[in-house]
Amino acid sequence: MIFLKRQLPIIIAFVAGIMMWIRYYIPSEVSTNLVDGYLEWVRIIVGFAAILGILSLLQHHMLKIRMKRPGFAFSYVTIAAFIMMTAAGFLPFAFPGFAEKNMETGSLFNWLYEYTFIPMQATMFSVLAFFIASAAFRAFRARSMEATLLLVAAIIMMVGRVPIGDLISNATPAFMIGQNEYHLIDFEEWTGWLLNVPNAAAKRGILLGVYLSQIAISIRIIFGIERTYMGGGD
Amino acid sequence: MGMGKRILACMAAVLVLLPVHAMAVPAPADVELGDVANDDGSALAVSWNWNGTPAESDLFSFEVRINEQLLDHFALTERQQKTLTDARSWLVGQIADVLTQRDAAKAEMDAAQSALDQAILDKEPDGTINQKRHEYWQKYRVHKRLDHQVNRLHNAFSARTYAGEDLRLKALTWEFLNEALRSGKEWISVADPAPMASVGTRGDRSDLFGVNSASRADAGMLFYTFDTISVPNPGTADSSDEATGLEQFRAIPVRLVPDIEYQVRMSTFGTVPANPMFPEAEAGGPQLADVVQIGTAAPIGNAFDKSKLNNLIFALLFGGIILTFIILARRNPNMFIRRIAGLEAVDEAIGRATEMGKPVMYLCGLQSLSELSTLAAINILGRVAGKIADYESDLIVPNRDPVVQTVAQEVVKEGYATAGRPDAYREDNIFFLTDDQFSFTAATCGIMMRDKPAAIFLMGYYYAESLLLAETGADTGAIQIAGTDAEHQLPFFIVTCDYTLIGEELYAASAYLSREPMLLGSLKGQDIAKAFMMAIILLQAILFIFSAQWDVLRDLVTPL
Repeated sequence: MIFLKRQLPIIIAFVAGIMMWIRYYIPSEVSTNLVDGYLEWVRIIVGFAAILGILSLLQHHMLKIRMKRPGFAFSYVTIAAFIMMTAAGFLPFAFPGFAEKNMETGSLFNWLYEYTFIPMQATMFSVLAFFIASAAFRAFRARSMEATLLLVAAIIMMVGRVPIGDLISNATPAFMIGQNEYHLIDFEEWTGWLLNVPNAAAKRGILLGVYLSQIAISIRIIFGIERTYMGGGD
Repeated sequence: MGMGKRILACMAAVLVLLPVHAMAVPAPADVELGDVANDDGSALAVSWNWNGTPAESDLFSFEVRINEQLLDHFALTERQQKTLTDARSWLVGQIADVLTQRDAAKAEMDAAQSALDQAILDKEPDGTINQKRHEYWQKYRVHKRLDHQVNRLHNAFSARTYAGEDLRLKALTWEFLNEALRSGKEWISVADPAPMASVGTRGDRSDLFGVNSASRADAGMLFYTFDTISVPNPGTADSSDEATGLEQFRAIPVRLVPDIEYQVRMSTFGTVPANPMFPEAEAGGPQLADVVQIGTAAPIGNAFDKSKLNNLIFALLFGGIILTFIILARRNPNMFIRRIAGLEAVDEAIGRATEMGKPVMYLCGLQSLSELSTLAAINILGRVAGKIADYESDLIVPNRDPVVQTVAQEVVKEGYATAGRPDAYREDNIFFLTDDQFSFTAATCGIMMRDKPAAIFLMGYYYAESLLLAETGADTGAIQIAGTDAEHQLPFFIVTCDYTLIGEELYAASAYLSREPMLLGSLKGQDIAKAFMMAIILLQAILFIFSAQWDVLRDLVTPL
């Protein structure tokens, strides 16, 4: 049992990891097929895992209803919506008032998807605008040197990205440096500099660290040094 | 190694010249055939310069002359031929009635629209206009339904003939459908067996590859078009190479048979200018302007992708450094690792949850388990779960991916068992919500608002929902620790969370929390590699300032 739970997964991780690493350098059809085969396996496993997911979802909400936990009424809605969408998707005939059956365009399922799911999804996404405003209000309070810098950078970016920024820039005196014309206040130039110099530098620094870390964690997993994800602890 | 035969272009070998268009399309110069380092022996590469500036609408296609070996390679098997014939018979049988009905519905719809337009023009009473509008919409819906049925049959036909990466079967399917569309009778032509008459008969080779130049001036020369490019706008600001009309070395992603010599040519197409005398003429369509014989070459397979040599060297070097430090760490377990505030606060966050008698919420991000950021989040979850079990708090883990959920359950269970509290583990607290991004967000925010967790961990990769989750968490008053390598979401987490693990700190967290020497050793090795990269960047920057260039440095970090 210990072999199946501990050693075998580590052996599989090692063999698969080394194999996939080597194949990256070999441009043959066998190498391509190996990746395709791996991706097919992933799809199969995900397909089975979806059943586990559905069972988990139903189990969780049933328990919530049984235990009458806070907000258990929403669990009724979830289960009802689940049953309704599943039934509509498998409906072998066109529901009265709809032209098509199953999940075709013009079917009940499609109608529910388009007129309930998509608007709700869009609503959630739209809320983001208000959350950004609320987060910005909190972040832009000039309480420290860093917050003040953030505030100034944000103002430049915001003004530089709207037409009024251009109007302000054009209204200020212009001067020439070499063959280039500059304005005393030039939001377009400033936003470009902010994005391309300090922002890009910080972003690349973060990404460099991330990529190196990813290589390191891959090595740890391939060689079985990091095993927490197997549920095996140390 | 693996170099295909390279022959300079025979610029003089211009086979066809259409005088009107040849003026508009610049000829490619210095055309060379080359090897594609990262192919499996089935690709050729062509590089060239434009002899002039191409217009935005110019097209250039690359073709190989069809030879016996290529025919053999792409020949349909009997089974494929049967698939195609059966699919066609099926389509013809299914679609005829639908097409008739759709045409009738279209006529009725058009008539209803005319009646409606007329009623509006005649300023008839609103009631009459509304009635006619209602009639039109009814006809429109019937027509749309039938139209949809035709499309469905079209898709079903494509699905029946789908043969994976079989280019020839794909080409035949497409050609068949295109032929049907081009006939001017729309789908009616599907009932006409003529386009499929030669399917599977190698005698009629002009139909074998679907796309070839048989219909053009050189009908006797059968060429297989394996790549077509359109010239981007030479005036685009973001591409200096395109602006100067220089096309970079270009790999051609096509399956040719390795080790066989191919005759390669390049056709240039220009756009026919609108003729004021004949406005109805085919203005705007691509017309063959020039054909350049490039030469002959044989694609040869490569056992090793030379363009990744620097990658291999660096991987071995970096791997070696990390493994060395892991070995060193076993001898000297007290390695110094800088303090990470976010991870120091883990105990504080869990302790706060215990004091308040409220749960801890942990999210593993929105990606699947095959992503390293999710694995890192799962690793941290294992460490955090052990601490939560120690503190006797509740842990809630909503998941977006059922695979992640299953693994998370195992990891948390093990964490509780290791802490000596297996009885405190509750499987139903680690559950799957939905795989839809915003549904997951809505559900998680709902749990935050109802259960009011005292501590929220947002680890892994996040997209636009990052702020929705973190801001809702902040509203509940929870202490929030985020960790992500999604650089676009970092500002949102920094603004709304108490502590944020930035990029690499997410991957270091597991090692940091466990304090296991071997894991800490890998962090040290990682730092050494980072210092090495920084030195290269610094050196290159200094060389750049002094207008010097050292190719070795550039080759070290870019594909060869």
